[in-house]
Amino acid sequence: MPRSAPSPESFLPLTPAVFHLLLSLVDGERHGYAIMQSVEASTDGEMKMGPGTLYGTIKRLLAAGLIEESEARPDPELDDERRRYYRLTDLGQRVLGLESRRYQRLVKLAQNHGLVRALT
Amino acid sequence: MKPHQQLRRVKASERCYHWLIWFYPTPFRAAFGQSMRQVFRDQCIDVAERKGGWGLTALWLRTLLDFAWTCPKEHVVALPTLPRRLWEDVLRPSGFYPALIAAVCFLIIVAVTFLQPQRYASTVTLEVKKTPNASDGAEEFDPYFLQTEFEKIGSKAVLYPVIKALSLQEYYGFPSSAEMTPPYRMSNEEAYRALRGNLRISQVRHTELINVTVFDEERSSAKFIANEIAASYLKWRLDDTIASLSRSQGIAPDQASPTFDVPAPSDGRSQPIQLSDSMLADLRGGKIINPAEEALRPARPNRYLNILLGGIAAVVVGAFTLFVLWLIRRLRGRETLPA
Repeated sequence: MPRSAPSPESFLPLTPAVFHLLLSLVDGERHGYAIMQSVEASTDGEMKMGPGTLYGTIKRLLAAGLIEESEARPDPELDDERRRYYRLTDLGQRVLGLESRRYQRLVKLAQNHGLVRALT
Repeated sequence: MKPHQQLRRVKASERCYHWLIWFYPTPFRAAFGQSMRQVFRDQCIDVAERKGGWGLTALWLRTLLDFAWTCPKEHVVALPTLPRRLWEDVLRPSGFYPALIAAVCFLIIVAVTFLQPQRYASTVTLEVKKTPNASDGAEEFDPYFLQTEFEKIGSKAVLYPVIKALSLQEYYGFPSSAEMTPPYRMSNEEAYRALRGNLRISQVRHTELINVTVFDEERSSAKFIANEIAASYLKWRLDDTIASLSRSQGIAPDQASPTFDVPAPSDGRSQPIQLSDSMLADLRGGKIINPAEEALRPARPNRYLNILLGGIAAVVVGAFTLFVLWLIRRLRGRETLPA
């Protein structure tokens, strides 16, 4: 019996590591170290991924179909051609969009309670 | 950091990490090992350029923490479904890791305790008095008297004759394996160190008596050695006293049956006397109160105590592991996709 594709909602809520990793791929495909640097930069250095965490997460995202490996390889004169690049899938983009909206709702809820103003 | 040093450290780090990757499950390593190594090398070069040696050290600490967390996790994920569900639903929430580590710690301590050879202890108790002052016979208070006697008992002057009398050079040097022939004979110094290591000298609480305890794997040997040490010590004391009195009287120490001016016990006045055997016993200034006997039970290792300490150590290690896991979770947050 064929398995039905999982709905984007079934992946929510995303863990911070997964959310930031997916977010780093919104602007285009990246290789592992570029993802790591992007996550570190977007969180002001609060989230530092090690290679084990990074590729463990990538493995699960690949298996879930949220990202995919790009066929494109860098020019050997510019970069190591063994580098593997990853990009968001349509499902990954939908999940990221849903998670972003969920965060938006949470922030709005916090604003309604005056919490965001109080914190800033 | 100079460029060539930097390059060398980066290459060394990369090599070490390459070996670390081997601990990950094979499918994971095959799929991502090369990429992980590449990312780590990029990190090393970047950190070494920006922060130098300390940055590299900090990176290694972070990486080891990452390894300690992700390597077991990947192994668990690689498990078939049933064991994985068992792990995720039952074992992990119930603190399986700390319990496992605590149990391993406890088992190691118990195994070491039971694998250690049993050693018997025999104790001889000595009463030692200060030898009277040769000139006036007065006894002076000496707070270090017993401590000095401890050192004398453990000295080569006392223990070398014991080593010779009981052939301890052969006894301690005898190989445990029967195939090793001829038997190894220790030097005097080696045998002395071995004997000193098996010897404990202590004061009997609230008295001026001295306990000399010898530990040995043979209960009879422990007894013989302890009694021989006591005899050797008392003989040495006597020889020392006679030599001291001979010097004060201007008589050669090897002169037979010398006549000494010895303080009389009644009035303390000196009078010339010929030393008899009983007087020699007095001059010895010490005697054996309790000779050593064969021990009924081994004294070391103290299995009950070791098991108790092993239990305490296991609890401490388990609690520490629990704390470290909690800390890691706090630092890293949840990192798996929801099922």
